[in-house]
Amino acid sequence: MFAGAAREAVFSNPEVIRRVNAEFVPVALKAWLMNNPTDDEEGRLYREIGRSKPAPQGICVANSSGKALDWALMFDDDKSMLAFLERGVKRFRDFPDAKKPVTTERYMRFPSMKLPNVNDTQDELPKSTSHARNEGCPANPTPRAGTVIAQVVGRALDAQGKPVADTVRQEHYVEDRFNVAVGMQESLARTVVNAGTSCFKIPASLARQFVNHAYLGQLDVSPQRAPDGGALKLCEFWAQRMSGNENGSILLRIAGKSEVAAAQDESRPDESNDGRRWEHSIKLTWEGFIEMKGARITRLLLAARGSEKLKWGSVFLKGGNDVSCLPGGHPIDLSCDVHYGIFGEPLAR
Amino acid sequence: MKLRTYAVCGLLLLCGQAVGAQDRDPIGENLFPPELVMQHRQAIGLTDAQKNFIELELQKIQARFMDLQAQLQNEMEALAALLKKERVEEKLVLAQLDKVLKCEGEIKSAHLSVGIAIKNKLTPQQQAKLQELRAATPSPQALQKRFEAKMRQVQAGVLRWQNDGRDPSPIGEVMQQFEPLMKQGKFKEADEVLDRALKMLSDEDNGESPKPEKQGDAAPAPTFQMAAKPRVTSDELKQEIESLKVSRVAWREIAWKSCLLDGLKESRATGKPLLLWVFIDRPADDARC
Repeated sequence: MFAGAAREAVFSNPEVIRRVNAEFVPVALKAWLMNNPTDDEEGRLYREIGRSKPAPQGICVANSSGKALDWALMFDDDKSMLAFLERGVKRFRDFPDAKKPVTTERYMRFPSMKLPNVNDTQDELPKSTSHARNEGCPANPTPRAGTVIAQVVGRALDAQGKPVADTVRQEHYVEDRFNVAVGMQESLARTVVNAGTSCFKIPASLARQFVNHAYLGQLDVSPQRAPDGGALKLCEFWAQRMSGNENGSILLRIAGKSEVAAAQDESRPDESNDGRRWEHSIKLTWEGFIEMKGARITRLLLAARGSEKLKWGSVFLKGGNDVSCLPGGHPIDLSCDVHYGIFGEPLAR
Repeated sequence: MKLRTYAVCGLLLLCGQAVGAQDRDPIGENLFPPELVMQHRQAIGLTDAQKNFIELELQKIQARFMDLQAQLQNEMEALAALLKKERVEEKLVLAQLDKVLKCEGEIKSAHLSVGIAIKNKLTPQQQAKLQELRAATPSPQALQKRFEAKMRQVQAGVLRWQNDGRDPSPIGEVMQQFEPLMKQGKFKEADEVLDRALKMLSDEDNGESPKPEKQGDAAPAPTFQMAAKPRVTSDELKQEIESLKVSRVAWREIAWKSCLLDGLKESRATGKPLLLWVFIDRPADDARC
């Protein structure tokens, strides 16, 4: 939950945005890289930052050598977020690099709940400027050529059927992304050939890709993430080849229906036993087109309309400012009509 | 790309050690971890008052544990620093070791206190039922074999993703829960974590190498009526989808970098500190987080 809550409550605050852009070099680091560093020079930098982490995720100010100066997991209130940034700038002035040893200050909640400091090991850190030989940036793996990158956008609708104006909270506005692998495209192509001119069912694996990404809210409420994987009650997508193909391309018309539901509470403490409680159900009717050339998808267009119910809470959520409870997020109680769109094209070489 | 398999080999070892270590635990077997109680709350007829009591105990202890863990980490680092020297001062090391052991002792005491408080809140019948439920779990040997087999499947799946240039971070995120659960002896939950990772990796869900669809897929009729004509053309649908997307949203106003090396380079060039947002997924671009 931390990343979603931090994006909504911290990094969407106009004053935080202004100060971060003006006074910092903002870097969004994947926790996975920090928590599983490699043995090369880049891995040593990740390991050094992770050495003082109070939790697997968090917000950290670091100096130009990669020494962590301050960590915070939450903030007392909106003013405290700005105070944390100010403190980071001040400490950077005192410790801009590794020339002097620096103690990492850590806060469970800034500034009222302080954790013990972590001392500098004074180990010399590498000054790498490039990744290990023959390797790209580990934070940005490159998908195989021909992979279709599908972008998803989802909106909660108001009583008049119009998209809710708020675009910060993910239960109102969500963007997502998934890849349609080359193998999956080839599977669809084989099904198209076998079907001839008949109406046919698209491969279940591809249909599930669409359904798995069409939900509002943060990652934690993905029906797939429920301890039992959620219940895919209905996932039926049909296709029909349309006439008017040019240059060997074909256009498939798609129609489908999906229904998915999932829930979790503290009686199933799989997610680190953090006391979360949530319920989620989504019913959608789909329409769209898939353009293909040979065994590859050249364009994917899907829209879905329907209804969605989402409840999120935690035994630890006791109200108050969102920034004071980032790991738990904020309570959600949503029941509304929804509209989704998916647009995909092959990855440019 | 370099192999990053969440130290799967290490976790394989952990499977053996953790499961084996559970052969006999004279303290643990007489107490009931809160997760066990909550997991079987219906079966043992846990009352709301008992449930609230356990939640309160957990809340109280959470902050204390964080503090103690941080203290322990500091003391361990201090001990390591003393041992790192060419000439080791035995007296200093032993004094520091005492501090480490004191911290560990306090953590164990805190664990034990919670266990005792929970046990004393349960009726003898509830305690007997929980013992019964706990005894019904598979043998350590069977669990170990199962975990090892599944872990190898996860390792193979991650390799497949990496070879295809896919980002295995989501699997990493799920697998991060495995080790703590194993260490806490929550084998059922650890097993479910492995299942979840395998489900995410499975061909059916992710389609990297999907199995051929059955030829009969074209045969059955749709369970819903496909309209005679599409409601819109493909270009009209594209416009409709584009109209849903808002290009200027607050959370995209910060120009996040994703490469640590690029960030450090810019920090050195501009004289600005790094602001690191360490997160599990990828919230900085067009993705859910």
